[in-house]
Amino acid sequence: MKDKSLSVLTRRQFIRQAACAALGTGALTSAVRDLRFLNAAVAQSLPTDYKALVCIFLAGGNDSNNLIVPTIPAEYADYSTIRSDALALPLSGAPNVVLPISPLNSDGHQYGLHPACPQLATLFQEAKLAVLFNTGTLVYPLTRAQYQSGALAKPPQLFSHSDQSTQWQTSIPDRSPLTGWGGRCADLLAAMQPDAPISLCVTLTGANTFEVGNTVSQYSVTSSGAISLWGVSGPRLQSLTNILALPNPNLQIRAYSDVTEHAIQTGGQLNAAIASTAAPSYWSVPFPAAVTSPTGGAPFNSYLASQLQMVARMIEAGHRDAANGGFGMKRQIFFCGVGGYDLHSGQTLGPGQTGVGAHANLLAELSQGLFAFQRAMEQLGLSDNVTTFTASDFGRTLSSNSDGSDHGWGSHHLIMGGAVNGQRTYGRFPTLAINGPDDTDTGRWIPSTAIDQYFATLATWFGVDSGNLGTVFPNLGRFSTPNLGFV
Amino acid sequence: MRRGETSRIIVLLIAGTGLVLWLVYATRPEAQVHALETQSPKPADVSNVSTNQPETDNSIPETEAAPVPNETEPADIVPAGPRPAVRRIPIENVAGPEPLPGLTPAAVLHNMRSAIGDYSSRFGGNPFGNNREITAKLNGGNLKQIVFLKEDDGMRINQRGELIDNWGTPFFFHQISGTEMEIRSAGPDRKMWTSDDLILK
Repeated sequence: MKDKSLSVLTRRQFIRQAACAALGTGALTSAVRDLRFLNAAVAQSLPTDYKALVCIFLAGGNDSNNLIVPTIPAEYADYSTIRSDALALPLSGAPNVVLPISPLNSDGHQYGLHPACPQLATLFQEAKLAVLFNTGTLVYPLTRAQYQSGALAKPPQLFSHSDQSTQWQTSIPDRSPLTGWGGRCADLLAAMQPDAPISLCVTLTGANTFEVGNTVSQYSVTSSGAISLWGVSGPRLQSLTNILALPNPNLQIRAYSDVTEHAIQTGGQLNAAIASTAAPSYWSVPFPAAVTSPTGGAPFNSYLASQLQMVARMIEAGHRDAANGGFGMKRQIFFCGVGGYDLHSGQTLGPGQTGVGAHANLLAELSQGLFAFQRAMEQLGLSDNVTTFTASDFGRTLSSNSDGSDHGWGSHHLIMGGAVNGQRTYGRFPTLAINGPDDTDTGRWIPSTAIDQYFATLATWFGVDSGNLGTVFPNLGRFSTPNLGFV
Repeated sequence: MRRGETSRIIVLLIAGTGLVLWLVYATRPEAQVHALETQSPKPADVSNVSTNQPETDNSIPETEAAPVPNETEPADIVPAGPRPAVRRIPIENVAGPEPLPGLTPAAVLHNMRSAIGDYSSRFGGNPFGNNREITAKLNGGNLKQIVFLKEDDGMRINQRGELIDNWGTPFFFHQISGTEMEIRSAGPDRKMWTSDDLILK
């Protein structure tokens, strides 16, 4: 009798079996990943309070070297020498000087904020704002020697806009971008609000990576509300709705009709729920329609403020219970974004006017928008329930290119809200020295805090169990402090 | 019969492999760049190459002047204020010193783009870093120690290890994504971020 196991495979059999094996392996890998996430979601405890996370993405790479400035004379001298008179903000004796802040903690330094940010200085002194130093994408903790020798893996495509902004949103720099960390948090927590009419993840700036989950999808709105069908309203909309409701044996047509019908219905529900907060006068501190930097310059329309106003309205409606026309949601994640931070040129108006210019305008917009938003949360009684944080592609070089700054790496960030342990600084301020211990070589800071630590701290506050942090942030175990304690 | 089947399988495998290779290669941005370069004349290049010539509309406030466009931003993310329009002028007519006859500033820029494209094809992404780091990677400081820079193409390196343009000023490499790089020459005035800069995407 012929032993089947020893029989020789024909090429055709081999190809067929190899193809089946490849397909099977792929499916198995995918299934294992999904099952792991499913188990994590089942094990996740479901809190009953309301919380919202608001991400403000400063697209292009914010020059945080001018957002937070060292004010001890020796350190300021290093700062101003390297920045040159093209970028260095004055400390005294000139218009638009750095605004000093008084942290409750002492890390051996003293700091001030950009002169276009008096509202941020107020929030900091009110302990509603914290600063996190030198944070960026890391695969492993990295020293300058390790960076230069290549002994440890670095995030791929450092200094590239698209790659770094994606990595900031996935928080897994060394893997292909499949999901964002906001989306993964939402996957775990969505079960606490199964009847919510809109997704836990809402974006104000179109599709983003941050809110892509394995199961949760992001819901896109504009600064005016739900996105509706253009030119279709009244009787036309009713007719369309009637047509969509017609029975159809074709499954594809049926599915398309269901999705469209649901989108129309949800949009109508959302617009109705936020109608009560439409008037700008609803807010005791109005969101600025136009921003003028206190340091000078012409007024301009603020896209960020209009986004934050819509976020405030959606938080009001999302938090309000269903019996009162709200959505009765327990968790919401919002993504806002503003561009223009890629200031290789025109960052300031030059020597003697470094507090004025494109970057001052952007920071004035950020400062005034955040201030109005924080006051809105206080008005709603939700200050302790909403935490806002900044993110950006990367920081910028401390050294000037004579007209602006170039792509950097680690950067300083802001965390705002009533739950924030504010008026404090977190992380380690870099040594401001070219070829110093924190520098790659041109004033690009090697991050001393990983975004994984930054975001895991926020996710923990948001309600992700400690047992699930590793699912949301697979690289977190590589860094010594998973919770930075700022919230 | 078996022989016929075997032949059919081989033919199908070859065709399939060819199709996969074509899909992988032809959809890569650098492959499209090469495709554009082989066209004569080069209308596509003209749209990509410009001097950074701002409009002369003096009514635009100084504070809103000319940040370099960030093409990775979502379309609906807008900066704080309007950006001045940029008039696209082909750089082929910009004269300058030629390290070798025929190596005009535009030709050197195109050669630079080709070198970066070759690197990207070999390593699956552009070299990254500042000028000095990118130069080192293009000049053999890579895993396979391949040298992508040729002196005959006008690739010149200064004492600080930076690639320089025809006027001797280091290029500026603006990394848009892992496969998209904007190369900027300071142009005749040797000053970066002025209206006579030569830019190749």
